[in-house]
Order: sequence, then structure tokens, then C-alpha cells
Amino acid sequence: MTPLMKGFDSEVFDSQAVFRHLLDAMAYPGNITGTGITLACPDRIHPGTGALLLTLMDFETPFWTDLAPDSSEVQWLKFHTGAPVTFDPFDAAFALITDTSPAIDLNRFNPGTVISPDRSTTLVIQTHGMAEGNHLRLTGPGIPSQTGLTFTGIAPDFWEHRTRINQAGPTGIDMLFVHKDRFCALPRTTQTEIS
Amino acid sequence: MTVSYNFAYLDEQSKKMIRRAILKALAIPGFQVPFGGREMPLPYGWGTGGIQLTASVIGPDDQLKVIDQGSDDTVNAISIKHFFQKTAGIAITEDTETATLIQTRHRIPETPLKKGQILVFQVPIPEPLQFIEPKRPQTLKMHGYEEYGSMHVKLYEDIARFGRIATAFDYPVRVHHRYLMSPSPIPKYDNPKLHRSPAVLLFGAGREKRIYAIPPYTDVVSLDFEDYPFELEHWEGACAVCGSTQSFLDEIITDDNGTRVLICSDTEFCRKNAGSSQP
Ligand SMILES: [Zn+2]
Repeated sequence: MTPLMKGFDSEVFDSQAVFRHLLDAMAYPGNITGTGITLACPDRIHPGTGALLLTLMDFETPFWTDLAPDSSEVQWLKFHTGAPVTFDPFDAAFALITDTSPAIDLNRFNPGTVISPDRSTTLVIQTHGMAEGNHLRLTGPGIPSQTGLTFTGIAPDFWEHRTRINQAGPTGIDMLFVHKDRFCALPRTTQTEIS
Repeated sequence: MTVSYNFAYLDEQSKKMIRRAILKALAIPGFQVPFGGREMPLPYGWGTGGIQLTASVIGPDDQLKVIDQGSDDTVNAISIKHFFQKTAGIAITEDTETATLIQTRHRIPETPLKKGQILVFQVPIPEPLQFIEPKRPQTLKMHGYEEYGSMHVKLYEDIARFGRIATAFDYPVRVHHRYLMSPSPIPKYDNPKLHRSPAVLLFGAGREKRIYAIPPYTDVVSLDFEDYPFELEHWEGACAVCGSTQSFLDEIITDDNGTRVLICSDTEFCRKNAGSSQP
């Protein structure tokens, strides 16, 4: 077996830098940002995804992904975070989707409960591309009036599905979209409209 | 000298847990997210909740401002600043405009906050329903099903007794038209500053181990009634130092005869305002 690739150069300062970008992204949905660090990741994990998951996951956060459990990618994530892999996406605190060509069934993930809406799955989705644009119009907390994004490789009905999942509130699924070393956040409160 | 503690004192495991809670708090505006983590080396009442938040967020490039009741120089504010200078080598500022991170007890600065700035509130009692319903499982349910009628009843009892809503501090708000939230013991004068602020507002309660947040540009409404609308306090007179009539004023007794003067509670604002109004 080939030796595992290393993780953060500095756990303390890299995770702090990434978290600040993450906090900003979550506070200002739709803003596309970098992670503030450089990180070499195994093939099918974008550097942005690696940075986010190494910052957020530990032994307390069950983790689900569409990658094979014995893949070098999953071994790398397990080694550097200690997060246990779960086979049921509903049990996952974090879920990583690397392939968006099959339709994403959001019902498989946990939206939390009315009493504990925070006990929900956070989804990390790797896209084929994203940019500021006007394909998807965004409104909600963190957005002064409205902003817009254009994604590549995500089916249009995904957005309708996402709207249905988050409609009831305060339950819902928060999402992080990654392309290479850039990412943006769409918390459950962000409303989308295809234009 | 050997440094035996982690950057900003808190261990990385606790920071991770608190960081996850902060993200959930931003995603569910006004909802109190419980968090675990280790104890801080300060007694409760010194702002441990705020310090845990600041320690989990702060980085080497930050400019930290700490205020206590509007002042940069109280014992509490100074000891928190020393804590982060000692454990993280952080640059300290009193300037609201250039601060990237502001930890506060009981005030929001008068100088308007900007996009990207983070304001961390120290919270003694996070649960706005505590005085109505002391049992936690019950308040969780009330929040879950938006059963806030009893809070309106309490405020209306005030009106019946005092002819007005008597609450002057920690005046309850609804966040994003959903959760009832305690803004911490800020004067109600500061409540309008919570509404659609461009800054990130984070609240930390150390004893109860809860974090909640108001994301930027989020609607925050102070509870009121059609016939008794929310009203701000106002003063007869201006600040004795800078002449401001556009700030929260403290009444201070200046001599043994009980002579009273009004002075800005926000010391940095007052200093700047006094400087700019001089000929
Ligand atoms: Zn003044």
C-alpha cells in the first residue's frame, strides 16, 4: 500500500484559516471564496473539500460518502480526522458527494428535528464548476437583497428537491458546494429560484 | 519561556466542536445550539461563553477589540484582552472601524459595523423563556412549535402594571420571523442595531454551553403590541464630554451634592466624537 498523503501543515493555523473562510461563507451565502490554505488531496477529493472536512470532522462526526469505503480518499479522510464512516447517510453529520451525475436523493439525509434542528446532515457537494451568475437567484439571511450563482453539473430538479426539503423549517440540510479550491455555502435558509 | 497551552488557550478538539456549533447557529438564526467542550480557566460571569467563541474564531491576523458596558478600559475588558495577548499574541485595538473581531458585554458599539466584522456577545442567560418556564424540555418544545404566546402575556402584564413595557435591557426579539431570542443584557436602545446588520453577530453562554447567532442582513424584530409599540429610551440633554445626542448615555453623579451629568457609554465613540467636534 502506498503511504498516506499528509494533511494540514499546521493543524492549529490551517484549520483556523479555513474555518474563518467557512464562517464567512455561511454568514454570506452565495459568496464564492477560497480556503486560505493550500492542501494536496487524493485524486477524487478537491482541495477545497479536503480543507473543509479536515477542519470540521473528528471522531464525533459520522461521515458518509459516495466513494468506496476502502478507497485511498476515504482512508485519507479517516486517518486525518478520525471520523467514523457510516453506511446509512441518515446517520451522517457530514456527507460528501463527489459524483453529481446520478440524481442526489436528499431524503436519504437527516434534516434534524423540530426540537433539535441542529442535528442534521451537512452536505458537501463537489461540482464541475460554479461562478457568480444569474442561473440561480438567491435570497435569505446573509444576502442584502439578492445574489446569483451558476453551477455546472447539477440537475435543475435538484433545486426543487432542495426547496421541498427545507420548506418546513427550522429543519433542513445545509450545503457546501466545492469546485477545486473554491467553495460557497447555501444554508437551509437560503431560498433559490431558477431564472 | 515555554508555552504549555494551545494557541488562544482552548484545545483544538473543543474549538472544532464550537466551530461546528457556530455554523449551525448561522444556518438556524436565533436557535440556541448546545455545545460540549472543556472548561475555561475563568469563573462564570467573566464571559467564558464569549471567550470560548472568540478563541475558536480568532487568528493571527485579527485586530481584537473588547468592550464591557461600552468601555474599553474596565477590569473585565482589560483581563480578556490580556488573556488573548498572552495566549495568542493578538493585536488589540480600541477602534471599532478597524477591529475585525469585537467581544462585548452589554453593548453594541455606536459606530456602525461593517460587512465581515464579527461581534461576539457574552451571554449570562441565553433562554428568553426562562422566567416563564424554568424547565428546559418545555422551553425546547415552545421554541420548536413557536409557542410564544406566554411571552406576549408577560409583556402585557408589564403594561397593565406600569402603563408601558418595563423591560429596558435584554429586550426579547424575534429573529428571521422565527425564533424568540435574548439579545443579552444590551439596552433596548441597541436592539435596532441587530436588525439587518451587515456584521456577523455571535452569542455565547458559558454556563449553559449554548451558542446562537444572527447572520448579516437578517430581520430582527423587538416584541411589541399595536397599541404599545417598541420605543427607544431618550435623554433630556447631551453627552457632557462630546455633546452627542445620538448615543446611549449613562447618568453619572459627579459630586457629593448629587450633581448628575450624562456621558456616552461607548468610550471610544465619545473620544472620537469629542476630537472631531473641537474647532
Ligand atoms: Zn460622548
